[in-house]
Amino acid sequence: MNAIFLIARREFLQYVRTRGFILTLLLVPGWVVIGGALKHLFAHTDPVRYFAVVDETGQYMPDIDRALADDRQQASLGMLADWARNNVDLTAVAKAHPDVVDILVAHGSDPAAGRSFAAHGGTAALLPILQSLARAHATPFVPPDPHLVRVDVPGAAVDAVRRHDFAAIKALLETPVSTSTGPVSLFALAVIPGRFSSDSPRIDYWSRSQVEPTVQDFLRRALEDGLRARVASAAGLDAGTARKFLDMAVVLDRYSPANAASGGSVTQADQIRILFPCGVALLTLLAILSIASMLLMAVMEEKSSRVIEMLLASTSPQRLLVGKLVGATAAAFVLMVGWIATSNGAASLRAVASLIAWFLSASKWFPALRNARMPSADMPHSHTMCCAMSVARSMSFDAPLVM
Amino acid sequence: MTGNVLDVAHLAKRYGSLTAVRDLTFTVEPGEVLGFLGPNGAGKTSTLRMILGILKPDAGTIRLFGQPWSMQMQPRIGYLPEERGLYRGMKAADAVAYFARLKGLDSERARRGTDAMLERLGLASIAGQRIESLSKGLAQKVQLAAAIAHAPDLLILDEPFSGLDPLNQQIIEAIIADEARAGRSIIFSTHTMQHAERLCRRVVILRRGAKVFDGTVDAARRLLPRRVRVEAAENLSFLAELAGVISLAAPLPGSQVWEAVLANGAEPLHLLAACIARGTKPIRFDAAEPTLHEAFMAVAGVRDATAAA
Repeated sequence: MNAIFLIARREFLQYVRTRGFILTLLLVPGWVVIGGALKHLFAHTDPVRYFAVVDETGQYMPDIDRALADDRQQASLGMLADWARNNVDLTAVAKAHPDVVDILVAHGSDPAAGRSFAAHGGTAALLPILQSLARAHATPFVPPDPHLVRVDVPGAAVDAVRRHDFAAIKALLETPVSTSTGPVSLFALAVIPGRFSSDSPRIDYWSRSQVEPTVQDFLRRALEDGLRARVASAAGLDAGTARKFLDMAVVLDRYSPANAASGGSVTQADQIRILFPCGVALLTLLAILSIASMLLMAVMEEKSSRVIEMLLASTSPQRLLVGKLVGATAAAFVLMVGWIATSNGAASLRAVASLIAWFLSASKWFPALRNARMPSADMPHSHTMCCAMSVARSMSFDAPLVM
Repeated sequence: MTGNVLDVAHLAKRYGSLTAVRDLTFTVEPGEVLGFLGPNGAGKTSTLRMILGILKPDAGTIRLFGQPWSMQMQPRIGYLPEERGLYRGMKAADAVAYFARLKGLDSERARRGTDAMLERLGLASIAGQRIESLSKGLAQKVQLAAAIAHAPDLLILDEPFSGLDPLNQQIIEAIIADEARAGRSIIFSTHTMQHAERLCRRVVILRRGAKVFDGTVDAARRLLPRRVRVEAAENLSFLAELAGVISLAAPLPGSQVWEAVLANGAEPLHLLAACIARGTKPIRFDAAEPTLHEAFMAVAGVRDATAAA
């Protein structure tokens, strides 16, 4: 028994003193902190994607612009709701302005929330209300930058695009395009052919990057909504009903017969009870995998350095095995408990990380960094960046985008 | 029941088709230092590992301290493996104390035993250093300290001088001699016959897994006929006619050294007396006894070659 304890203690101390163990211990809380900071950072640093649309039907540009406006309202609502959750006394808001809380709570699941947000005056109307009830030391609210901006194709180039003039399209995507706010680099160019309809839902899509889906996903969604609205209208539905039809979403309130006290409602505690064992199982698996590799390396060292001979000359193989397993299990347990404990602390650190991220994104250095990532209207066209992004005809030419 | 510390009888071990140890029988008496000799692959390490319980014999018996081998015997044995067997990241004092505790000492006794052992071996100054930072000689001394800190009754040393410079070999040899004087029974394997010659009274020589000699160092030397070398300007061929001279080799071209091989019990000084009686003037007379190295070569090497031929 004494030998088992001695071996287990040595094994345990050997594991917990390694750099690998410390790094593994910091993995989960580090992920929480860094993930939170990156989320905040990227929310403000996604490059602006400028795109142009040549609509040969002359009908779908309003649908695209409406979808852009909806997306911007949705993004603003999301950022405002996140900011309010961390910085505002929402209980006080709920008492004083219950309609505002309804809007903030709805943003995640209701597609019409963005429009409702806009109808209530958007950020301009809601922010002062929330700021009046903000907690002390609240971070300032930073509205999101637009991620997608549609620009007009210069008049001289429209005909060339319609003719599928490769050189003209290449020049449009490779050289800055003049806009009312200055020259910008086009990320994508879409051509909606004259025959575009619900029977022929295809467009041509040109882009400097075929792996970045933001613009093509947006166009697909906007035009699908446009087509559906037209089909609904043709079927005799008025525009309001058609919009309602498009925005329809089902919200599922869950109940359980076991929750008599709450009238059957499934509470957050119930959800935690379901998720906690899954989380613990996942952490256990991670801990076992981490410790198993350390155990393997330790056994290899003992074998190669002949320590194993000294051990086997001092105790039985069974005691050696049990001691090693007990030590490794204890280390895995500490790893798991450490992950849970430090993740709670990390959640607090996450707020600090978000503040640092906000500072970086608002400081004078970050715009420069952002500009370096993507040529934009604020800087001259970068030849290096342009070369790195090959101009290629979209897949839609060979396999047209089905709308 | 015998009074021996170790009784090995008809021990055998095979690795697949290779027979590492075959029908090996030998004993170690209390307080004896036994040299366990043999060329590479003779089966020395396999035998020592079976005595320690690291390997299980295929046949034969091992009795320790008069009783059949069991795990309970392990605390009474100290072991120094052929290659360094300590955790590289451990401090020297911790490593010694750790193995002392594994051998059954409580924390306090292990610490005291470690401190005393490190002090005795002149290692007190490096007690806090990690094994990986020590020189090979120092690491070997720490390894030896780990083998004897729990004051075992039987000490098994597998190639304790391997890879050490002459100075460190001398230091380790002195430590082993001290342990022997303290009454500990010691088995050590080695390739260096000078160490065995100085430390052991008795040696066991293995060849291809089998015992080819078991006896005292003197008896091993007596395996070879005594040789007398006489250097003189004159012709010494008359020495061949003397009683007790088995053969006489004339000097090689450019040399004046005659080499006579004597029968067991023949007195070398008779040759010197005969030279003087004949009026010759020997420049050099060398009647040294055969060394253990020569005996070892004859037993484990030459005989092997003869058998192969």
